[in-house]
Amino acid sequence: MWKLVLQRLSILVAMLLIVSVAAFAVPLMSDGDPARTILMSRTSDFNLDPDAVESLRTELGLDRTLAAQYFGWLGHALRGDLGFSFATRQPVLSEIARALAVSLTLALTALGWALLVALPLGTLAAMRPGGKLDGATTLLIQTLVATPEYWFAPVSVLVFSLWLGVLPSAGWQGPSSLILPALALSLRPMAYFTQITRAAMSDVLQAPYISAARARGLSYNQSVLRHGLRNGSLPVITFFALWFAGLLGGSVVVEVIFAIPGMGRLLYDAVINNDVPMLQGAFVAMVGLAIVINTAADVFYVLINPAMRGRHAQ
Amino acid sequence: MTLPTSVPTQGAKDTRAPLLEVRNLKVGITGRNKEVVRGLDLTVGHGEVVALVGESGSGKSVTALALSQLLPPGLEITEGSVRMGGRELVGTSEKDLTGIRGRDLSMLFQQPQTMLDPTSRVHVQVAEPLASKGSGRATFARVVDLLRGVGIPDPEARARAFSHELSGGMAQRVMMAAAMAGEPRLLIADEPTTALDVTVQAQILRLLRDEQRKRDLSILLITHDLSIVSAFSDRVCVMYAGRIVEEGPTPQIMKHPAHPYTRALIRCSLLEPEANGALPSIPGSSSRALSILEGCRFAPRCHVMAAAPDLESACCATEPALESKGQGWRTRCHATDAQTHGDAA
Repeated sequence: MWKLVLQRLSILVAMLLIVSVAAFAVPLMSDGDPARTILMSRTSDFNLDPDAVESLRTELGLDRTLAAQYFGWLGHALRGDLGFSFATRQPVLSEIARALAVSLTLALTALGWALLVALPLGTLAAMRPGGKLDGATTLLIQTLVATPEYWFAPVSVLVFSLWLGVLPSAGWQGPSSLILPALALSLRPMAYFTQITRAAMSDVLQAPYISAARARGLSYNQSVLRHGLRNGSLPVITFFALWFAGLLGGSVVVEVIFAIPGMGRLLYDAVINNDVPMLQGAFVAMVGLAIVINTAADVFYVLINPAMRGRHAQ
Repeated sequence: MTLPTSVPTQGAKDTRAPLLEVRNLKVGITGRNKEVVRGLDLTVGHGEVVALVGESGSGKSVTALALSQLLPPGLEITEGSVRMGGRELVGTSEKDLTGIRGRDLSMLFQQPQTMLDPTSRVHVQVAEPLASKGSGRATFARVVDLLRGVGIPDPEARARAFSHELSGGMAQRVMMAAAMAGEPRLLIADEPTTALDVTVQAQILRLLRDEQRKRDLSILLITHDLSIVSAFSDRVCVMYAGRIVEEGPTPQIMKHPAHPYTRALIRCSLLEPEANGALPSIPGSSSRALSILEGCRFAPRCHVMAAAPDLESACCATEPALESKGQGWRTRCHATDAQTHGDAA
């Protein structure tokens, strides 16, 4: 088990290094000289003083070799210094940490809620294939998949904020402002989680060990609870990790509609303002977290299914 | 392989009513007019070992699942009765059945490793049939005793193991411990040694025999392996295409099989090459036998009928009844003894 964790961690470090190179390359990929870009964003003037550009280049270390620049940048990044935002002049790290906390809360609430509905619903549907609940579940899945967030979000505001007046329509103050955006974000993952749970459980329910458990005197429901659910939840973990990593980048649509200061909003603003350090930092944070989440999912997967231990360690 | 020696435990006639009594059991495919088990009669006495023999597709495993009311979706009991200690199981509610399965009636299966939940530890699964759920520690100690009882070395460690950490033989011993946990009266063992190495097969059979003697256990052993039948069972029932074609005391039937199918099975199992060097086989296949609705289902493959053309009209028109030959020996065949034994087998 520990061998596996160490192995995963070393892969994780390697991948983060690759990501750092890619993040470092972000401003290089954008056309032009970063020094000119910075000065332009400060002065909004296309006629730049060449001396000012040159002195800024020296100040930023852009006259060094690429390798020297990269290791300088990496050294700072490792110490938590991702530079300052062009737009707000605030440290990139603290801006991202704030936005990430918002997006994390939102994503976990939405996905947790989706899972809370999907696991029992998918399992019950699989237990009586072709039954009433199974039919209703299929219908619900299709409805949820076909409900776009940009439609559901305004409609939910209309109903709960304007007509009923029970929930705030926008902003980020307290748990009540979390409900509508989390609900809007949860619909599609809920549909997919339900579908995956149902498919996995219908396989698991036909597994020989379920019959064997019943032959030992467990009822069908007990067999499903004690020996089916854990096995059936394995593929759901994989999909949960994928969605979690995806939602950490924030949902631009939902965050803009509900005026939530999350990663989606931050990225949106950074792109609009050509805020290179912010984009770099956000890139590192999001990809890095995605890798961490997938690694955690791998480890969790093996924790639940011990039969994978031998296979992974090889 | 070395098999346990024969166990003629039926010396003194048991006067009690049979423990398991199956009458006219029919299992059909849901929504289709096709029967997989066609009117099966079967009894297992107290402390008796009965072997149910037949080739793949003869309905043996379906019978095992039907007896414990664990048929998978798509198969259903359409008729008949299964009485266990005088209690009818067909139509009994799932809730009542949970009190019977694992307690009165336990099961062993083929492929023991796939019968264990890969995400759950051995001791959790072995403890499930235990009647009284004591403290965690007491239950664990009981499980360790059970594992030791079925000859598992280092039972404390094995109790905490997962199924992928067990060999096939070890997994079957674990299944045996779980089967014995509820102190059952009847064990239905469906090909319990088929997936195992030959040496492990003998160990598991010896374990079965020991438990059978120790507990006066009744066993319904489902197998296609006639060497196991002769070494292990008191009585044998030969099944073909969902029907019993011959049943009776094992020694007699193994020595003088009356039904052409039993004779052919035994000849094939000896693995003695014929004059031309080929191993004996039964011509044709049993896969289409289920769709034969008139006459004897074995007729298309029967060497006795082929040798005696005057039998053909009877064999293909009406299915023979299961007729007694005395001493609990019954067979389902139109041919006379002379016709059956006339061929140069």
